[in-house]
Amino acid sequence: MPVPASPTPPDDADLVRAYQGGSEAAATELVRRHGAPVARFLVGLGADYADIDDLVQETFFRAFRRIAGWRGDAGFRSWIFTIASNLLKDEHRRRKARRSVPLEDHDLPSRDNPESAFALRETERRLVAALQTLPRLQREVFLLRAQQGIEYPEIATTLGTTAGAARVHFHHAVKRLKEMIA
Amino acid sequence: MRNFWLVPLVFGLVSPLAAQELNDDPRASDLRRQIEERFTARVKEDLALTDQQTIQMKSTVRDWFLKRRDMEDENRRLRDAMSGQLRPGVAANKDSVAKLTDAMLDLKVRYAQSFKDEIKEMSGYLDPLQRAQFMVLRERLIERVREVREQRDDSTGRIRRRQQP
Amino acid sequence: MTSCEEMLERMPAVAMGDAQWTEEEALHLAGCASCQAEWSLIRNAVAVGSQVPMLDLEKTGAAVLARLRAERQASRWRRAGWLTGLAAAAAVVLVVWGRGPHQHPARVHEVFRIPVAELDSLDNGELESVLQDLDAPIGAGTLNSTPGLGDLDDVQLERLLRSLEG
Repeated sequence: MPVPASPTPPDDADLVRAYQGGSEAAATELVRRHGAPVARFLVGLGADYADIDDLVQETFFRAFRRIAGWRGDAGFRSWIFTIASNLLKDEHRRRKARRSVPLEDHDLPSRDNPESAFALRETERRLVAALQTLPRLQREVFLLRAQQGIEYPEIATTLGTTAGAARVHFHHAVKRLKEMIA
Repeated sequence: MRNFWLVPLVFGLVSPLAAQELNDDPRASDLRRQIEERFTARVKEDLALTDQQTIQMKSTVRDWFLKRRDMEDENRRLRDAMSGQLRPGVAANKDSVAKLTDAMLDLKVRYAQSFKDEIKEMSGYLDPLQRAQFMVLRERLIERVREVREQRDDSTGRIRRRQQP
Repeated sequence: MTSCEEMLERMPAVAMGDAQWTEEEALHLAGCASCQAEWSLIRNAVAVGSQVPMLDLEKTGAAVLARLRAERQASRWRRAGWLTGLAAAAAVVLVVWGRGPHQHPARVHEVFRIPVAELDSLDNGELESVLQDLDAPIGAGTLNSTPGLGDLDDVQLERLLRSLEG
């Protein structure tokens, strides 16, 4: 007797359509699929571990509110990364306006927070610090390529550049990071 | 055609990605704040926004403002790169110029699209008339800004011509 | 022969476990200090955030959906023409009388300004000119010279909205 084929899991476009049709389960599945990569991306961008839960939640909240804005030209995950990045930038500007200490000291996990002190190994911490010195586009291209393994055409669509430019940005970022961290 | 004015209204909606050199004079900062506050008050009154709508609109306009600011930063970088290629006496790299041109055009399209997407996002909490009212009010303000800038450009041109031998 | 540039392009996939080095690539890596430095960088990039405290994504999803539902509900109240002011006031009363000391009504009156990036490049005189126009009474000056939306019929209004929203 032939073994019935396993049903193909719905892709992101299917889930988005289902959510737009009223399925909350579809939304939950999207959060489940993409929540952890979004969290890691935010950490790479310099988010504090203590804020990750709130940032991930706010990212998805904003995404579902403007779900009509995802036109499917870039992958859903890449689109969410853009939202996360803008959200973090917004948070940094808000905090910068409220404090007088240099922004860089507070972008990274605090040494005073016992939980976060062990959250990043020293090598990772130095990388995240070095990433903060790169221009935003280079930083994001580097993370999307190196941390998330996304190919250049997708990166290009996500960040509004060309695949060739994305490749150049990646190589420049690697060169600069190597110099800083070596 | 009776509704001819709709055409410039629609196609003039998008503020071009013009060179935006920030006037960072403190008085200018205060004037910008006053303009934005009064414009906002007008929007809230004309659209009869509820408190909830105000909160939601604040989030929407802030997000899209920041996105467009990023695009403006990107436009400046592309312009600078293009200026570097087109320096007098220096042979331009045709491939680079072509790529920069493509990137600048793509950016213009994305910038224009951002206004549509912003209005579309407002459909979650504003009714169609409110959205159209907001669009018209903002377009009027942007149109006025364009006019004063053009007046400046015109007067600069006249002065330049007078100085020519 | 594998170049350093080709090695760099392969590193993300290998670091994530989606691919493996070929024998030639492994030999190149063993003998190239530059590629070793880049490989270390890419491996660290993959590792960044991998120690993030385990997120309860079910809880995150539920919280997101709850917020979306609350927002839609508020929108429905407005469309249904409910006395939102009265409802909000009642909610405030409930919060003050019925809840614990640590809950506060939502701050809806914090300063809200619609940012207008186009103003950035105007000089002070130009800004003053724009400000004066904003203060002009309805019907005077450029800011009020275009036909009002009230002049549009339903078909024109619908067409305008379609062009805006795609």
